[in-house]
Amino acid sequence: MSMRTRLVAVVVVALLLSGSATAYAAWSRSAAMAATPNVRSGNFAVAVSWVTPVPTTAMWPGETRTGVARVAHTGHGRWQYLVASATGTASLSGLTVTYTTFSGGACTATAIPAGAWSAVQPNGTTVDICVHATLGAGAPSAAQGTSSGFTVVISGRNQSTS
Amino acid sequence: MHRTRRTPPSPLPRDRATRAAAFWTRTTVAVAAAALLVLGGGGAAWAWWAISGSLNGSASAVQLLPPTGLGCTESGLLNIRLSWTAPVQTLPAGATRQYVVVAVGAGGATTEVSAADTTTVRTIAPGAITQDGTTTLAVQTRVVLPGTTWTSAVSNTVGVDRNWLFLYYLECA
Repeated sequence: MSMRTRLVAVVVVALLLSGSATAYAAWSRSAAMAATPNVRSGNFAVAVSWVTPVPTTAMWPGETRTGVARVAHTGHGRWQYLVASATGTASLSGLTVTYTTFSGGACTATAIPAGAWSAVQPNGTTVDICVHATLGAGAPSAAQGTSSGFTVVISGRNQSTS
Repeated sequence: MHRTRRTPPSPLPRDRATRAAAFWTRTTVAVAAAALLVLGGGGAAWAWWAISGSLNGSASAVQLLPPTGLGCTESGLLNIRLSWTAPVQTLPAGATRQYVVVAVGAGGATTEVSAADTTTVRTIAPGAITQDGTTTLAVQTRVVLPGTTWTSAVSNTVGVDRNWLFLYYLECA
C-alpha cells in the first residue's frame, strides 16, 4: 500500500471516529411544496409593570418595603427573564434592593439572584417578582429624612419552541 | 537513431527509520487538523432575541423628631431645671427613646451637657456648664436601635447664665 493510500485511510478513520454530526451521510427525500409557500419568522415580546409599587412609607433602620413586579411574555417560543441589580440606590445610605419569587398570593423566601437568567418559562406565561427595598440595620443617623429613587431593569430573551 | 533514456540521478540515500519517522509526523499533523475541522465546525450558532424594560421605585428614611416646648426654671440654690414635651412618633420594635441636653455653640455645634436619659426633665448643676456668661442649651431625641443610634436635630433653645462671682450659680436667662 502506497504512502498516499495509507494517509487517506488514516484521515477517513479519524473522521469516522470523531463522532461529529457534520460527518453523517443522510438519507433524504423530497416532496413538492404548495404553490405559494409562506415562510415567516416568529415574534417575541416581554412587558414589565408594577402590580404593586414599592410603598414609599419612610423606613427605620432594619425595615423593608415590598412591591410586586410583573413580567409578561407574548409571542412564539419559550423564554427566560433576568432581573438586574437595582441602580440609583446610593442617595439613601444603607438602602438595598433584593428580589424573591411570588407564589400562592404572597412573596416567598426564595431569592431571585440579580443578574442571572431564570429557568426556561413556557410560552405566553406571566411571572410575578417581589421587589424588596430594605434600609440596613446599621444605617447611619445621617440617613434620616433622605430618600432615593431606584430603577430595576428586567430583561427577557427567547428560547427554542421545544 | 536510438535515443538513450537518461534517468535522473538518485537522491542521496536516506536511512529507512528516518523516512518512516518523517512520514508519521506528517500523517499525525494531517489527522489532527482534519479532526479539529470536523469537531470544531459541528455546532450551530444560536442567536437570542432579547428585550428589556425598567421599573422605577423610591424609598425614604424616617426623620427623627426633636422634643418641643423646652423650658427652664430655677431649681434649688444653684441648679436649673429643664423640661420639655416628648415628640409624637412611633418607634419600631426594639427601639428605645432617650433625651440628651446639649450646649449649642458656634455654627450649631453641640456639646453634651448631661447623659442620655428617658425622662423629659433634667436638673443641670453649675459644674455641667463650663462657660462663663450665657450658655445656650437645647435637647435632642436619641433613639437606640438594634444596629445603630439616631439623634434628632436640636429642640428650641434656652439660655442659662453662669456667674463666678457668686460661687458660680446657674439661672435661667
